[in-house]
Amino acid sequence: MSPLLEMNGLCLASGALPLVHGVSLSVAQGECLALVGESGSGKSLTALSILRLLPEPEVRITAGTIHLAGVDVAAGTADAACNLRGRVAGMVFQDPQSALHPCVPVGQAVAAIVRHHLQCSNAAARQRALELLKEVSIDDPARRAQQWPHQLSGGLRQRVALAMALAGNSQLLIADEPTTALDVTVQAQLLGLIAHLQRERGLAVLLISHDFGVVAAAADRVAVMQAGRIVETGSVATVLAAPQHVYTQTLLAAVPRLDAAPRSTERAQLASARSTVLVRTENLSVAFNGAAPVLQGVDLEIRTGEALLIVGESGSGKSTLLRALLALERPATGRVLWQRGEAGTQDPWALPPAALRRERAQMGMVFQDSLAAFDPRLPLRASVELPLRASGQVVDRARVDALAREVGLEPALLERFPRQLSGGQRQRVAIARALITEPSLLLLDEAVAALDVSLRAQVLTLLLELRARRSLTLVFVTHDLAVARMLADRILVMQRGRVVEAAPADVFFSGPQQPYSAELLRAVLPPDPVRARAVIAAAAL
Amino acid sequence: MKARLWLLACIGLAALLVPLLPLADPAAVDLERALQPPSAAAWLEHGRTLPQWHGPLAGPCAALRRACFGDAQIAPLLGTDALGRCVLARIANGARISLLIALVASLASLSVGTLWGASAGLAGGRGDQLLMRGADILGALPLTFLVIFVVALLRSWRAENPESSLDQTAVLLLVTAVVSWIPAARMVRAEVLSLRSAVFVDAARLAGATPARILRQHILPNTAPVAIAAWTLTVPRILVLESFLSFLGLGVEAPGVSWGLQLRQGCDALTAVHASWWLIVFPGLALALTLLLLGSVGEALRVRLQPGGAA
Amino acid sequence: MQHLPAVLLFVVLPCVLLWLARNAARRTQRRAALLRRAAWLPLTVLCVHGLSFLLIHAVPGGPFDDERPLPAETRAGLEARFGLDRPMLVQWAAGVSGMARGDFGPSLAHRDYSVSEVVITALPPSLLLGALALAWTLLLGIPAGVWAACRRGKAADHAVNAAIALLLALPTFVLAGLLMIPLVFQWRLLPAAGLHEPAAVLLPSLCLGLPLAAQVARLVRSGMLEALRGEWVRTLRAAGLPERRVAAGALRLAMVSVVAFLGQAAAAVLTGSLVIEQLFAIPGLGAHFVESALNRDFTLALGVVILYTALAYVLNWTADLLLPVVDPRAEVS
Repeated sequence: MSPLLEMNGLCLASGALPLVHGVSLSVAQGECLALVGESGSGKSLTALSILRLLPEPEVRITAGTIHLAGVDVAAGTADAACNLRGRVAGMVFQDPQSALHPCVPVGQAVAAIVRHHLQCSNAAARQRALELLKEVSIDDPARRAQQWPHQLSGGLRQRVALAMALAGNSQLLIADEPTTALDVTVQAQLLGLIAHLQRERGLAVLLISHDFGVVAAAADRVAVMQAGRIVETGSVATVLAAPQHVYTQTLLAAVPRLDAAPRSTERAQLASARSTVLVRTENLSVAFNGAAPVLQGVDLEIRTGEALLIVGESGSGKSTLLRALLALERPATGRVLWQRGEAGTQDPWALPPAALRRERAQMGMVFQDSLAAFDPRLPLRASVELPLRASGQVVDRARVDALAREVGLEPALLERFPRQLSGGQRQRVAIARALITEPSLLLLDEAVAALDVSLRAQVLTLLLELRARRSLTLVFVTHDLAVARMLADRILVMQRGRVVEAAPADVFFSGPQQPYSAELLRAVLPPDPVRARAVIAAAAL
Repeated sequence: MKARLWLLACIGLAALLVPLLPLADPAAVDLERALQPPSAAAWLEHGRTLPQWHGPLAGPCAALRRACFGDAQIAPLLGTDALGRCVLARIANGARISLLIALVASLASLSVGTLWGASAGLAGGRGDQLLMRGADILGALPLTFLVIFVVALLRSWRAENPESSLDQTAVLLLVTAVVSWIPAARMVRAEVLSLRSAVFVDAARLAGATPARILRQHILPNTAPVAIAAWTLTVPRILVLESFLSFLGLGVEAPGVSWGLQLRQGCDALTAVHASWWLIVFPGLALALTLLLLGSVGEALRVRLQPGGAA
Repeated sequence: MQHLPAVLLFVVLPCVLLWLARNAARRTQRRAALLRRAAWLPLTVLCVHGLSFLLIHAVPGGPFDDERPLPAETRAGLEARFGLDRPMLVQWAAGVSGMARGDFGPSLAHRDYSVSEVVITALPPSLLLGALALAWTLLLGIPAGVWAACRRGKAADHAVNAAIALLLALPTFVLAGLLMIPLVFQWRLLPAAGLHEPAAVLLPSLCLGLPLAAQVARLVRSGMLEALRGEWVRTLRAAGLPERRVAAGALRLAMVSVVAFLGQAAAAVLTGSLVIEQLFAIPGLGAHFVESALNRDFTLALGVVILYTALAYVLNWTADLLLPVVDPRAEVS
């Protein structure tokens, strides 16, 4: 029996620029093939071409065949492929935020597709839609069907998208980064659901991902893509355990792992210096415009030289906590206290403005969105030099250039505008800006979340180096426990605006005390098929 | 874009240089040649009275024109109106008034709007709510009706005090400026608010920049494009409002000329016997062309000035 | 009959508004906001009245100052009849209480009629004209926008775009003049003035509606193109829905901005009716208003301004009320 999807020598090009060079792959009934690669590797375009959803004519198929259930999709027109969409293959995309029409109740959206494919009555379509919603494990489908997308969480929306992809009884599911925008616990549940559907329906799955944990959990076979080519294919166990191609090896090496030994070379010596408290909060609460508080009764201490990792899922208030620590958000109750040399601790909101500005120069901050963090109208050098100018120091060009080199940046790049740099380069500039006043405390808000795996590893390594060289105190906010494992001396777990657990990193990772932190830790997908499958099997229960 | 800007500049320049051009007197009544259709039979004519100008530069201008063109003036190529006045000359003279009002009033309204919106955005919280609620209330009123009401009252007051310095143009300027600043204020406020909470402004605050520096270096330069866009949207709006009021007989008055007034006179002259289309088509085209150019230049400017678009 | 406008304005209207608010607003938060805005209506009307009253009295010229001065006793008699000899505060209080009863006093120019009577006779033609204009706006604007969006970059799109740009640059009165010349005077297809035959309302309403239709077409076109860039489009396409259904979804999203524009469109119709009614000699409210402004008939002008204030307010309010019906997300804010 021939496989459901068979792609041979597919080439895609935008104008004269080739994007994908001769990709061949196949997916059989009931099998899950993962296509792994970093952003720009062409994996999404390859997936889109299967249903002829490419932004034609800007991006065209220039050569190759795509046999989907025996029909060559690449040969015909895009309209001819329309008949296969939803019937033979359905697709789920990355962003659940915008994947559904915002003005249609979700039940109605699913029913519309059912009605189109099955040519049945309205009532029958609605009935079938409810069954589909139930099949993708949505509780109380009758109530959910009445709701609008904006009333549903990201995980539920992604389930609805899944129901829409399956509404025409398609045999192949193409999932393009389906869990990237979701929290870890939700991610494990969704992958468990996909694995379940794969077994029950005999569904073939083509999974596009950049995350080896996701691949390990869901895939039977893996194809690794780099710059428009497939560099390695094989069963998931082989590829992850013994990668053949150099690129796969680099990628896998860059993945932060929970079970890796922490880079504790510097830690021993730093631990002794852990004496004075730099920043402290007492019963800190923050609320916006009378809404429910985003932070509630947070007590914490940041000590000289330590690396404190604040972890939590989206909406847990971890970014707000960071802003409150920097006196960017005014506390509703409680207070933040800064250590000021001999003067003792001080509430920043009680400081005169000039003193507050002086104190802030002792803290550096790196934001998540590196593009928004720089004034689009200023060349980057002006932004980097701003802290010096603001504190009335002499701007020494050589010093700025030296710092740029220290963070691994060509100084000439500083003459450019923010949009002209890549995300990784900009994040390095952001780190340079945070360090220009030589602060003792560096705070980072999801600073590597937007970066590709290999870049992420580079930036994290840079942080470790900087920390050792400058004896920095780090406060790092992240949702990624593997990143936390790599950096942390101490972990702070947040849930719904509260600190649920604070513990030294070693203690935490060997066995968290609180059920919520244990749940978080359990949901992390290691790049190891056996354990990753165990995780999603547990989550699907 | 460039062509449109040049064309707009030409219209502005022509309006500015009207006293120097060999145009007929826009007020010279000649009932013998009333309602002549457009004709290109003769391009120039001689021996007619030249227009009289007032003001400090009137003498030199008249002398310069006489030196260049003698007593020649362009024949009524675009026809004449019911009183035999040259339509072309009236369009050119109307442009002066209409564009002057649009320019001055839009600048006045822009400064009010920018100031209002920027204060609201910078104040934030209660001050912002207070200022914008005021703008909301004003915006909810049928302003055109109030303007007509006020203009009518002021006309009545001027009739009582003929020696007062408040002339019709000043009234128009004042009233149109007062009612047209709200959109600009809203746009500027929204931009300032979003800039205030922008990540790079937080970064500047953390860098120890003073509020004055943040305002100077980040907020004002990034607000300028919005203010310019608001201005390019205000000019056509005021141009329409002015011609609208003049059309109703509440704007520029009879001895003066403006496009709206001219169109009104054209419509009045329309009868089943004399369908004098040129009285409407040419001033209408002048107005429409200017509005079209202003609108498209404004739109292009807005797109081009978006952050990052220039970088 | 005399109290009809007052009853309409202060009893029937609030009741209708409250009923609408109860039914359209599902969330209590939004319902409260809408009710609060409804409560602002009487206050706004009062403000406009007060302001206009002050302005009228700040102007020294009275309504009886014609070119030819009146004999002193005639003038005093007239002023007594219109209550102009009383102290200002008393006059204002009388004005407000009159307004509450829908009585704005006698018209100063049409001395035998009260303002209410003039308004009641003038309202029907204006309402007919306005409703037709809004109908043109939607009936012409939406299909044109959809057509242009579906044929993006093709000749049809360029044609619609050019028409939109042209219509947006033509003020109502220029458009009216340009259309009148061939249709009325050259070919005599349509009557020039009045409302004596059904065809007569065609041209004025078209002149009012066309620029707004251009606006709507532009909103629909850009709204649909914007919507088609959304991720949900790929979801629907990938699920196998035909392009026609995807376009319908995009139109659904584009309608949000159209509904949001309706309040503004209604205000534009009110404003445009001033010149159109005058040009086509339609005895509507707009024509009366302009005439009263030119004739210093301040009581009539005041009455019409108040009516228009209330009307504009209610139309805006209704557009806001309709918004969550087309856009469920609007209910949250």
